[in-house]
Amino acid sequence: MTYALEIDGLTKRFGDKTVVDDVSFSVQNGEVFGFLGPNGSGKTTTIRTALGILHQDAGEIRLLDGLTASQAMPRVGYLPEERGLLRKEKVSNILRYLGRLRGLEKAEAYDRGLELLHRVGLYEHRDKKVEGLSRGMTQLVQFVASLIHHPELIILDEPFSGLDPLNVQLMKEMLAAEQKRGATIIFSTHVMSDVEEMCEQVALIADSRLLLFGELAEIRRSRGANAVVVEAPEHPNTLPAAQKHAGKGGQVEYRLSDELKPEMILDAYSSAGIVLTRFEQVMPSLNDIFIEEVSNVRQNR
Amino acid sequence: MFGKTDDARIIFEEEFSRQLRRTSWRVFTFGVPIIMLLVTYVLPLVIDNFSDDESTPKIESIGYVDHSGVTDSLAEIPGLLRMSGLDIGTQALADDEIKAFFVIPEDYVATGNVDWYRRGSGLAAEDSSGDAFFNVLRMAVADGGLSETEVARILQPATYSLFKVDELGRPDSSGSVKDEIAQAAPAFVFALLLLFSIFVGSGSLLQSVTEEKENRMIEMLVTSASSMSIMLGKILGLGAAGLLQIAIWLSVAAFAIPQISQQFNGLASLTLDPLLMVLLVAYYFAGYFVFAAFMASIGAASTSVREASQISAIVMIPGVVPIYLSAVIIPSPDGGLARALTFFPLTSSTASMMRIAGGTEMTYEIFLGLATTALAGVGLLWLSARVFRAGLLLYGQRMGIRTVWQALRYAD
Repeated sequence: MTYALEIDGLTKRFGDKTVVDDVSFSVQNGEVFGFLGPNGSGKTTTIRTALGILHQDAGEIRLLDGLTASQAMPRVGYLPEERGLLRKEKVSNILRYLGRLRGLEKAEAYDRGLELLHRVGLYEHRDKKVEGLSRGMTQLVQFVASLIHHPELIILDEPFSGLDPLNVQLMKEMLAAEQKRGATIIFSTHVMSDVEEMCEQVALIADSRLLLFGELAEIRRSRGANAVVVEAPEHPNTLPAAQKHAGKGGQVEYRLSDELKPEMILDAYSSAGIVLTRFEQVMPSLNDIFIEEVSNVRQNR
Repeated sequence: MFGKTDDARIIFEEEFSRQLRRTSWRVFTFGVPIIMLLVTYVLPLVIDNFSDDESTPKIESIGYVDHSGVTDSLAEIPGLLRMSGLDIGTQALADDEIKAFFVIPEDYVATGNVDWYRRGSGLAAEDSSGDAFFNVLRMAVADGGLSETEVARILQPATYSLFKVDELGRPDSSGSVKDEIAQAAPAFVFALLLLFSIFVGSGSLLQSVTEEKENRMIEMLVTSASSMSIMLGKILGLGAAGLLQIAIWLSVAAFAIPQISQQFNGLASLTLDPLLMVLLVAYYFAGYFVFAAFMASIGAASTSVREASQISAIVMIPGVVPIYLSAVIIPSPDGGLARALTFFPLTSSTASMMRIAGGTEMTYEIFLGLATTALAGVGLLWLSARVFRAGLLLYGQRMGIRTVWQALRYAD
């Protein structure tokens, strides 16, 4: 198995505060990896340390099958969390500059920059200064800058924040194309739906520590069903109201617990003589898992 | 981090062309020559129009001895003292009774030579006594009674031999006006150019580094190139833009200076010592490098352009000090103050240029100062790269001696 990123026992302290505490996970080549965590959990510090921007206090980091950050960087595309470009500079010039620093020839960097601007619908803004662009447009320019040199590993820190749904969709399509090309994609976020839509593997970090790491489907399966969706013409009053949530078209979702098992729900409908049109056990959403895990950590603090 | 010379070259090219596209650079680069040309052509016209040619020039206590007889017919002029001999004149000078003392030799009409005795320091070309005395000679022409040859000679500028007179009235030869200017002017010009470059070039560098930090472009840069490549590329790129600016100014000056000089006693034929020029250019580079690396370090350690600008003023002041103290350094270029300033990297460039202007005899010290400055420049470049890197390593941390030290240790 080959790895685009391996982090082993990473610890990073700022003064007396430990912001990343003994974190270990790995990302296989060619996959889309979601790095989850609430605000201030240590995601950005982990990414910055992995890229060699910060220096770790302990632990090992290897990129692209065993390389150090400095060795791997020419083959890595990076979108930082804190966005910004030279405000007085033309969009096309900035892309050419960053493309050249990533190893492209001058003309090649310029052409590739224009091609990517075409793809994100900013071609007509190529000669505008950055200060003339909206925040979302600037973010897109930075995004394409991270792809300009056809990187093997793309690391995006909160790539979708602040973008409208159309641009989010556009970015996802471009990332899908990059994965198809063979690139590995790692992105951090706290928007669970993005991860569920795009990722095969995830890691969840909260309060500096890694809480979960693995295949998304497997994580959800391992949690077991946590709800039952029932569709019926009417619903019995004998089941606990606190665990009952009304849905669309006569659907009701029951949250499962030790006091409320699927067979108890079936019994209640059967006893009331109600005929079911749908009875389905539901796996927990990533959102549920996220909230549960993070809440547990905070309660145990 | 990656140490690729290619990266430094790319950053150099980008910074250079970006600087050339800046409106402020263009205005400054082409504004200075325009002012220079205005001074060359427009100012003399204005002066001519407003000056009263018929008026008698004001002479401020000037003494003279005339062995040639060209001024014999002149009546007594207030402030102009005809003296009987050299000793009396130099003593009057030593006693501060007169501002300057001129000796017109017997062969003046044949040679055009005049001896000019002065107290203290300052460049003769900037001393109005020469012009005032020359006007006295012109009065002799107006007075009539001179032969055609004498008139022709007087209408030509005199060739002054300079003598300094000490407090006891003892004269000492200090060459001609041309010698003095040839010695002082290039050093002065380079000192001023260096100051311009320091203010413009390193100011831009400071802005470039802090802006990239402020707008977070820096994270993209440090993941693309090493700190050393970034700093080297920036310093050289902005330095080259500064050099181009100076080349443009010098080209205009090369055209304008002879025009200006013709208005002063025939100084158009100024010649420059090639070795001196090499030394001045080397000092220019070393001095620029020191200040630029300092500015880059300040930019790297600061959190905003405003903060960086305030700190940078402290660093720039030492560069100006030797020029400010030129009245002390030029008359005694080998004095303790001048020598001390030669070996301090922030004052070395301008202090050495002032010492050269003053005609220092300790040339080895100038070379030693150059070597010290160049070494300091290289050291500061290395330091600026580390500070730049450390500034990033200190993301989100409070600055303390321990954290800064740790950051500097890890700033590879």
